[in-house]
Amino acid sequence: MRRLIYGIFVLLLLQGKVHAQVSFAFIPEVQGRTIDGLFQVRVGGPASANGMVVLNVTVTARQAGTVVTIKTPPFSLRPGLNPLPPGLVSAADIRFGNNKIADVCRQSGYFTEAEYEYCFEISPAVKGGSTDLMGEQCFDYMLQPFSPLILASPADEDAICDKRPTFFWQPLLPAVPGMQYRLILTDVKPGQARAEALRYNMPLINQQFISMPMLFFPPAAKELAEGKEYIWQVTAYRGDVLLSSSEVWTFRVQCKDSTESRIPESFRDIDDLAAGNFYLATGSIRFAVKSIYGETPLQYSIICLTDPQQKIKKLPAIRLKSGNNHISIDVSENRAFIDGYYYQMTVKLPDGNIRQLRFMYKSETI
Amino acid sequence: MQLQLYAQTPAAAQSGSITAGRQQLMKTAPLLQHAVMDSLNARTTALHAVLAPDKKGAFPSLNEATRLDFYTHVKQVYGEKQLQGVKKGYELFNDKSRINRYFDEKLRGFYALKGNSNIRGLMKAGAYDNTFRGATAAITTDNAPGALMPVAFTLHAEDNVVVGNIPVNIVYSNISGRSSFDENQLYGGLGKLSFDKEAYLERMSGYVNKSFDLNKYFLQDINVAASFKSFAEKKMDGLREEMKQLPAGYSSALDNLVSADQLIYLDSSQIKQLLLHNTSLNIDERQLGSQAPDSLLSPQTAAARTYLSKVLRLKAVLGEGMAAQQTMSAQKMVNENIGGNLGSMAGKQQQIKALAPMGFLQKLLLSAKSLQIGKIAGGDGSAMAKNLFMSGAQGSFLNNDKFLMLGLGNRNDALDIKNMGLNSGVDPASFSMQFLQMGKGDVSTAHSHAGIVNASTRNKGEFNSQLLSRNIFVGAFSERIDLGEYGTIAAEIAKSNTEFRNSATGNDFALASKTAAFTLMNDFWQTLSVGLDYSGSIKALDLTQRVYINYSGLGYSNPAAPGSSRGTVRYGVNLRRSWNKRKVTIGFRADMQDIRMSAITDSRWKNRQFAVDARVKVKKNLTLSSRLSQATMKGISQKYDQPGYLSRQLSVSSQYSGKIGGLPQTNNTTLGIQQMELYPSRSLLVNLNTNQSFIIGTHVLTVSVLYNKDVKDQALYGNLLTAETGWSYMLLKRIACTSGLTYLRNKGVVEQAGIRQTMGAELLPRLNMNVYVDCRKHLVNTAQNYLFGNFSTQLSLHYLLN
Repeated sequence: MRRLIYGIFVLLLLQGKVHAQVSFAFIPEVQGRTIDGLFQVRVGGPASANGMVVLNVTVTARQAGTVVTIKTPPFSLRPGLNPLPPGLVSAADIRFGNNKIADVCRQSGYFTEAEYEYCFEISPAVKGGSTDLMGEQCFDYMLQPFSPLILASPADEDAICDKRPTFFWQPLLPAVPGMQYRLILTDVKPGQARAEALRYNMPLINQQFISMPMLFFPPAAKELAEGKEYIWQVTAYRGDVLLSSSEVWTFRVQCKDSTESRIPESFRDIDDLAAGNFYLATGSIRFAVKSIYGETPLQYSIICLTDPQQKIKKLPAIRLKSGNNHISIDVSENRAFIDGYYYQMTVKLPDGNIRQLRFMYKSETI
Repeated sequence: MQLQLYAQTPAAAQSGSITAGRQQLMKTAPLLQHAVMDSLNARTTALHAVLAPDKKGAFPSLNEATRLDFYTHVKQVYGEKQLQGVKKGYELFNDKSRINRYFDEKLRGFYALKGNSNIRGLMKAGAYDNTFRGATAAITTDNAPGALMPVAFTLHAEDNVVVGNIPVNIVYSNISGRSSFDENQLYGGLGKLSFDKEAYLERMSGYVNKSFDLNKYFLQDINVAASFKSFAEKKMDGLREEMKQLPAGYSSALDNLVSADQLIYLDSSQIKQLLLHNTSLNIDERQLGSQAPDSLLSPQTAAARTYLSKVLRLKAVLGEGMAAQQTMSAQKMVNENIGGNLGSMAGKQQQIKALAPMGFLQKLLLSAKSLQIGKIAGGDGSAMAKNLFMSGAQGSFLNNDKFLMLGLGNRNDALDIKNMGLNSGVDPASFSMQFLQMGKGDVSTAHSHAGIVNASTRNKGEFNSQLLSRNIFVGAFSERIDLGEYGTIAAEIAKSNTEFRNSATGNDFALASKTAAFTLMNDFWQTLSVGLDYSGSIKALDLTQRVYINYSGLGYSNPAAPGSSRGTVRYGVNLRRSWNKRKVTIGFRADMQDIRMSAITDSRWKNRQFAVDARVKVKKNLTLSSRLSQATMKGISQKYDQPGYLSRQLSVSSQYSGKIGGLPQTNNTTLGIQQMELYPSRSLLVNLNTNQSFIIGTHVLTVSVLYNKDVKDQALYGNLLTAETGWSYMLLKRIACTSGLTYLRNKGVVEQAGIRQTMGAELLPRLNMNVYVDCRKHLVNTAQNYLFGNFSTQLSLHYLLN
């Protein structure tokens, strides 16, 4: 299988201005995006490393000058590549530059588009500072901030018919090698807040390693249920680093037409209807009739009062059973029935009696 | 002493005219009061035949026995303190101070009391309760290589417990299992307690309804006009008696001069005219109005003057300076309002407040909108705090149209189930925060609110063990205007400010840790977020529309609204119109975003999304729909424009139900073509998705086919074919089953065939069990397969109350 290759627009330069024996592992395309990301750098001390050191990080934008300089509290340098001790930088000293890039960084913690140089320096922890560098390394990177991760389909708050929908979103750009997506889908219980549905409910899809900005509904998973609401979110990540989360969208599976779930009306006795004035027939003519005879066809005819020229054909055949019959004559597809027109139906009951009922026809609202 | 109908009418019911009507009624209260007291007195007259005299002139009073009964009722139900208030109210009588409200409400409550009911006893008896709402337990397995949790166990339980008549919902959820990262990793349990406002109102309202007749409480059983008239008649009778002391000739002329109706409906000058125009009296107007002593006037005039002054005093008592006619219309207005209000939430709230004996907490909860504690969604629907999930507490209150929301908690994104196995992020993901929002109107209706968020990064949590400490402050205003039938406009303005700990800018040598709130105005435009959103509908055209625009600066950051945009101008429109009784519906939406990348140049991501969809109901059993959409993302910079992503999609669907060969059937089919360009690949996907089901007797046969092909053969998962069948039947009359066969082929990746079985049964009343098994055999499998597992199961048990 051929792996899809993302375009890499930005040249990554790992320049080795390595000084002494301390080394640094830093991935600017991931860790160089934010001020906090800088401290995911891993520092490698020499085999003989021992003693307290401080780390000084300087980020410089080619177009603007120094963006920020950060100095950590002392920590112990150990041999081999190690992450910084947890919680170390919360007490770091931070100096921001006096330019627009630094202003935005000071407010948001993000580095905006520029050509940056990230310099890491390790020096012994001595009171009053030391000029004696134990190690220094700089990384150059042309940074282009990520686009937002935007969902595409199923559209937010949409009603769809497909119980195994395919999910689409827009890719996170610029592409970073090794970046993949995750998708989570859960149901939303009536009245439940979105943020709670995503955490409280069992994920129906919780899939990782997705390399394309789309996901077929997992074929082995149980299909979605009619009438239910679902919520989904996409996350972009690389390795064990979260890069970006999308907005949270919902959709509803609604395949059955709303007309099918019409409110059941009551069936009034034909004698009542015949005695009364015009009654309103919405989509169908409904009445109740009692028969003491065996199964027999119901003889009936309808004429249009508003337009007597109108010929009414193709009326469905109705069979009466012995006992109570609830009759519903569906005429919604019959062209002879026009919204707002008056009609008269003549029914010949099995006992020979004739009933006439007048009604106004109303077409259903879908 | 005044009766106060709607002493605290809730905002919802408080329109201008009602308020005016209420005030008018208050002014003529002695009448209603009189009727109430008369009725109460009558209850005890059988035992104590003597009626207390009117000790305060026109103001009625309770007889001794009734008064004692009343006091006993107040003491028993509301306690000693309230009794003191009521006694004071009774003494002060004419006082318009607040204390009289107690008296008024309690007196009306006493009047409305049903038999010997005791609300305190009822409340005590129902103070504690527990209702189990239901539980679900499920085990799922999925061996797809990309499944985050190959084995998961879920437990979800809900309960409602009532303590001191306060209902609290308890929700507990535990999702645990083996993750693909760590065999022992558990997602863990989540739980929350939330105050159940609706149940609380229902509960308290139930007590009130059992103990009091609310129609009587609102004096709906009293006919104001009739009481008014009988009151006036009684007074006129008294006056007639008084006038009998005058020489017979004069008194008979004056005897029936002014009727009770005239007293009510005529004003003072009209009454005066009645006297002057009475020929048998023959009175001189000047003399009638003079201040001269009686001895200087003719006896007729003197008698008439005495009569007139008494009538006018009576008139003043009747109306307290207000036209009586207005009372009638006011009463009518209030009555109409009560009809609609008795059952409403606001109405219930008001009645409970007045009639149920409640402690401080119970009263406070009456104006609470929601109270939650535990792992909760923060924000209560406000724009300032949204999509927020936190561990903490939040309460929102709405009283007299004044809104207040308070929240505090910790947000920790690392704990989210979707982030399982991720160890760090480039963004701070853990904050402790406090927020407040207050103003006029509820958050979901027309309102004007101001709010603040104060957040500080936390270094606890599994993400970002390396976080630079900072404090972020956000100030926000939100306004929502209701345009009635034209829709609503929502406007939002927010400003954020971030202060890093131990930081300095430029040549400033001193490192400082400032509080972000004090420097809120820093970097104004970069940290501002403004939004305007209009949505509405035009009924006559069957059209709904929405237009919105948002701006946010590159430095804007609001930890209480995760995912809020930065450096973005976003605008769009969404229209949907139907014709011919919604047989035809067409929708259009466009969403545009420009996301700035640079602080110094004009570089930006340019995103455009358009979609048109149409739906036509051709026949009752045939619906056709189609959707055309396009999404593009481009990188725009000074040097070059960079192609990012392009997707164009056209799909046509049909939904058809009817009979084929005498068998009822339904069919849903979608045919689609999609162009997807993600540099360097250019795919053209064609897909077909069809679901067909036949109803054969009591069985259902389903056949589904999904076919997706990349015409250009570039997409990894481009060529997918899945085919499935299902046959549903009943087993042992109790177990609903569906059995099916599956086949899947993804060219070059995987090929599978297998079976699928579902079973559902009611094991016990209310206890349902569902089983789902999908088992496949790999005919072909490769290392590229991350999506298609061959064994997926789900076993779930539901215990539901309803």
